[in-house]
Amino acid sequence: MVNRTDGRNEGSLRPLSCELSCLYRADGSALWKSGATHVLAAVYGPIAPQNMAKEEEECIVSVLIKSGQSDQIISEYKSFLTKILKACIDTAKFPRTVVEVVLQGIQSDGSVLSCLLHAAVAALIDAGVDLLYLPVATTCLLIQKQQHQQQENDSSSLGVEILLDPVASEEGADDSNSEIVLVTDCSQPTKILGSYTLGAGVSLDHFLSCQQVSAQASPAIPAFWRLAIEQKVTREMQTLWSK
Amino acid sequence: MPVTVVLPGDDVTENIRLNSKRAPKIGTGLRAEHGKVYGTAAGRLEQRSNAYFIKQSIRRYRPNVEDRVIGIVEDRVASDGAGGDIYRVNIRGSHPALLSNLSFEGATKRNKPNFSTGMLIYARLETCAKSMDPIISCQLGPHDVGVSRRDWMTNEAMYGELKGGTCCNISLGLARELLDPSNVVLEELSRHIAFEVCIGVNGLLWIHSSRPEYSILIQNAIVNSEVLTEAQVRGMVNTLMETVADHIEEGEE
Repeated sequence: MVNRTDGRNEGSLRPLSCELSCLYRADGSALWKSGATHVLAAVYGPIAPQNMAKEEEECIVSVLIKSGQSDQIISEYKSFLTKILKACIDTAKFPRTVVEVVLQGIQSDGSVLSCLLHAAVAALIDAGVDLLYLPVATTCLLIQKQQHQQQENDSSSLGVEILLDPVASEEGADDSNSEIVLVTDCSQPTKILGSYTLGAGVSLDHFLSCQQVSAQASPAIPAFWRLAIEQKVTREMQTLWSK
Repeated sequence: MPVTVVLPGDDVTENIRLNSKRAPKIGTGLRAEHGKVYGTAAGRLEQRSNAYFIKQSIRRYRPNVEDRVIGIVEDRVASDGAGGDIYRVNIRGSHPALLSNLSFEGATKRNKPNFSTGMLIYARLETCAKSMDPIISCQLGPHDVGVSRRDWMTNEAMYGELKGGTCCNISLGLARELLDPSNVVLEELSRHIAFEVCIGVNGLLWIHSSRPEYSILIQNAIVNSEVLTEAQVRGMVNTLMETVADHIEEGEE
């Protein structure tokens, strides 16, 4: 057991909050809060690209990230998210169009990439863009353990401590820490769709431990999405739909 | 009946009852793959006789053939070979639609309507191939059986220009609800004010009444009704009507 600054244990997520349809002009929008990391996502589309010459047989997915971080990190996040979202959107259904996802980092307190992905997915659900599956991201921080701190737990033989959903103070505590963001399909938590590594490289054993942690924790996010949609459906049944 | 809430990626094959006589129809928000049915949109699973779909209320229109839509004329694109002009019309979908000014009842080369940018047209969606822009038309179609065929020059044709009034954007779910004959907000409003309304299933609403204050009031009432229950809607309309009660009395005298 380790003492984290906010009192959580190693494998628990921060409290989640999601507000759908918060922007009036966007086709879909979501304000996603994971602890103190807040991201606002807006989705426009499917819509014809501004330049007709850029039309393709399948839908083009364009991701734009506005955040206080460095341009290099933003462009890496952008290409990672574009690949994930392009794979999960039913692009064959909307030929000659563009789906534009605009992500605005409102507040940043660790695990920013996961938050960006979840906000984007929530906004895509709100916009009614057809998705083949829902990608879920989990962030694992690997801390090199000192010799005298080794305790009896699964990862003690590996010499690292795995913290789930780290905050900024935990991420920045030591330069030798690594962070892995794993993206999985919510209906198959053991299958990895994509991964992104920050900091020093990780060994395969560490990677597999992170994957186990992620498989345990990731069902919480789709459960939260389901709750949000159930509340929306209940409300709509009382107000919008007469039957 | 229990409500089934579906998220994208959910396996809903068990919820689709297999009828031995006919294969079930898979509609919006669902996809069939290898004998299983998965959700692709988030919402409630609905069944209408043999068809299954996800009920959701989104903002951007997806064209379907024979939908009745309101379009805003943008500009002239080309001339069709038969002496008419083709215009680009915004129908709030992924692509603008095309409308020829010869696709009106009784329109000929010498007798065709004049379009200007910003004009509102009530039309029906004629074709929407995936590789082309959708085409709309103001002529009667297969779903308009029983409607009398009037020329475009008399203003009594079913489709055509919407003159005057005001237009606003609404969600597709609200548009569908407004088309229901027993819709509460329209019924309540009609008890107090006389007005004309045109609802496009593409999420455009046109309102015309004798005074602009009434049009704005009606527009606000309709937009509010999306998030209110039936009883709340009646109360809301009555409250709004009180603000123009004096005008209505004057008008009646």
